[in-house]
Amino acid sequence: METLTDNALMTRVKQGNYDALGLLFKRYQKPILGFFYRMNGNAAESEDLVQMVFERILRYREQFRSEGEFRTWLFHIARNVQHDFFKKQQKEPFNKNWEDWAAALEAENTADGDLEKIQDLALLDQALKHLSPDKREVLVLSRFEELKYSQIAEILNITEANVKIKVFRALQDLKRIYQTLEHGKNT
Amino acid sequence: MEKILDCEKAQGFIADFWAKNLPESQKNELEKHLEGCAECREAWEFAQSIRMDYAALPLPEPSANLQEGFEQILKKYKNKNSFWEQWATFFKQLFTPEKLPVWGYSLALLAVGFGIGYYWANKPQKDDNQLATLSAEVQAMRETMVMTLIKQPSASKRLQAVSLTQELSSVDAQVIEALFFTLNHDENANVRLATLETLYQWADRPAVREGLIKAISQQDSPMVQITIAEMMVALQEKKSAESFRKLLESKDLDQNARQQIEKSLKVLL
Repeated sequence: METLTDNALMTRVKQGNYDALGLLFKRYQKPILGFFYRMNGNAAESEDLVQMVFERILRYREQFRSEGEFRTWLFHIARNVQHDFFKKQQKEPFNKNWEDWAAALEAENTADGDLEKIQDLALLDQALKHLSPDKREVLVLSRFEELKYSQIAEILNITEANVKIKVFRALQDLKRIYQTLEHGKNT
Repeated sequence: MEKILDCEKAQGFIADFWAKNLPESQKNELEKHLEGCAECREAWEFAQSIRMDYAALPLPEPSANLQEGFEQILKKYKNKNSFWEQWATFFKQLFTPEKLPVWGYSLALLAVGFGIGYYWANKPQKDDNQLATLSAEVQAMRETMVMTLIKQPSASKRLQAVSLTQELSSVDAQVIEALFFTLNHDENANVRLATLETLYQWADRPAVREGLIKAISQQDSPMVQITIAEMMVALQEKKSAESFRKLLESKDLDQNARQQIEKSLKVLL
């Protein structure tokens, strides 16, 4: 069964064999959970959203086209769930002011030469969290979920060139935030 | 001179680099652009500096709750859909081309059923007529029997005749006349009593009432006299008073009958 492609499994789900979704869930629960976690930073909330994604897959199973790619379709749903969730919550994720966070980091004074790399990662993690959701989204999808720009273009319903522009702008913002955080840490 | 990349393209290349998807040839092209563009160079340097091990960034592991929640959703869907799908399958099966002859046969059968029903719905009129004719015949037969039996020498036969008249739905003047003849002339008091009770059924007819009043003077049986007196009270027949007075004048009148007649007269007057 493991050798079956995502599309073959989803086609079975579409035909009414709901158990086939169990395998897809096994394959994708972690990536989808990761996507939500990168987007909202709350593990419990993210798990709820993963369940919503799989419920939507069942509800909209008829809309899956076997000539399309399951992974793209899945992230398209995940992205919509995330979008709806933000709208419903009427809040920005990581709404903590990043300057406050920079100040907190400074106060911690955890500078330790051996841990520099880990600290760089922690800094990047924090910088990502302070990006606006739409910019964070393209970076998360491309780098963490390793989706191709053509796939992201399909998910966001924009052109591939537009995706590249979004990624570039997101990188610029990330750089600005990252450098500010770094500056805060070093002073 | 070699054409230098514009910023938009260069930015696209940087984005490709972020996605680990920049071919070496394009990288060289990009580097040439970066020599003369500070903005793009800064972005490029940053993108390079943060190319780290992203897998090291913390991620939560899926909990048992997630698996459980998923299984519940799946279960709910299986139940929900099995119900509707069962119905859908049922209806789909009903309308397959193979079922066409069955449908045709069923519809034909239904049409035949309606036809028979329609035929029967119209037929009863004829039956009603037959029934009416039949009951008229039975009535006539009973009347004939009454007329025959009532003239029999046996008292029991004559009683039978009187009870037969009770079964007649309507009686004609001939039967009434025969009954009055029996009431006034039959030698058996029981027959006369039975006849009196039978005639009482038709007491709403003026001819019957009149006959009953006339019969008062002709009765000699105390049983019949008492019964007739009670009937006259029940019918509130004041015309009968005169006949009863005459009867009271008779010295042969039974004591019991006399009492009942006097009682009746008090009520009637």
